[in-house]
Amino acid sequence: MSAPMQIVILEDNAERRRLMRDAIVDRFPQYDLRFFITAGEAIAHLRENYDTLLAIVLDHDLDLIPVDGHRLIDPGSGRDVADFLATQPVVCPIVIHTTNGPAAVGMETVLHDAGWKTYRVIPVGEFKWIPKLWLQTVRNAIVESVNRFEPLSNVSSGTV
Amino acid sequence: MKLPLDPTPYRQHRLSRQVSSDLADGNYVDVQTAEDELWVLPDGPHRHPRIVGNATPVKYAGDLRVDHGTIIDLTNLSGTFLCDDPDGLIEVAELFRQAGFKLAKSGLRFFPPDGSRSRVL
Repeated sequence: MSAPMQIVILEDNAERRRLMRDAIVDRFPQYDLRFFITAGEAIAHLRENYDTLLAIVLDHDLDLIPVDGHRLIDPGSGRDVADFLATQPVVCPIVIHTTNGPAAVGMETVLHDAGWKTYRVIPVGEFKWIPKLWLQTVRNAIVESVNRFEPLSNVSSGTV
Repeated sequence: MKLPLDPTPYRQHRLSRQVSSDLADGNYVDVQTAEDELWVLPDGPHRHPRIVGNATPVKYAGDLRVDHGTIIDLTNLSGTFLCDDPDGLIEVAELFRQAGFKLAKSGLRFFPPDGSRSRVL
């Protein structure tokens, strides 16, 4: 049996991640759900798992990560992941959830120019948007994409 | 029959209704009951066990999207009931047709329980 398809999410807020996990498990329990809190880790994972992607979900703004009590690590942003994906074959839908409107438009633009289909969720209120608006958007993105994408092994051009 | 994985005997949701062709546009979760009735409830968090309620087993469950009386897509997606039979989804589609709905071309979408690539039925 092949590995389950994956839903990859870039999201640094712990409570958002908890609610997103609950929402996905309630509707898509058969799929592998992977969260990342830095763009670099997300890109590394995408490189290694490109042929099993069911959907990619991206926040834009990520908080600096404190380490050792006195240093901060720059986690990058959703734009870094979008820029990476724009150089890769189109394999699944992408959902962008961020309150940073200009950054979202930038991500959408670079992805559309590369042929990706994107969906936008504008977070409203603290967390209530996740179990309803966000889940429905992710659901619609995944359901609409059925049969739209060939397995990467069937794609003749493009490199990963 | 499928028992809900969450055995909590939830009360039936007040917006749950037996299906009829006047459904407003939007996303819904659905079940086919033991009596072959179709019930739907506007989509939301953990709604499947509350369509019928009381931890009642069902024949089939999934979700759908309605636009102007047409079902844009109909699936077997339910983490509560985990329906793994494509023929069951085809039967649900037929019940929706009997209730007066059109189903969009290529609208029947099956998600295998092993997490492999989904397909149009």
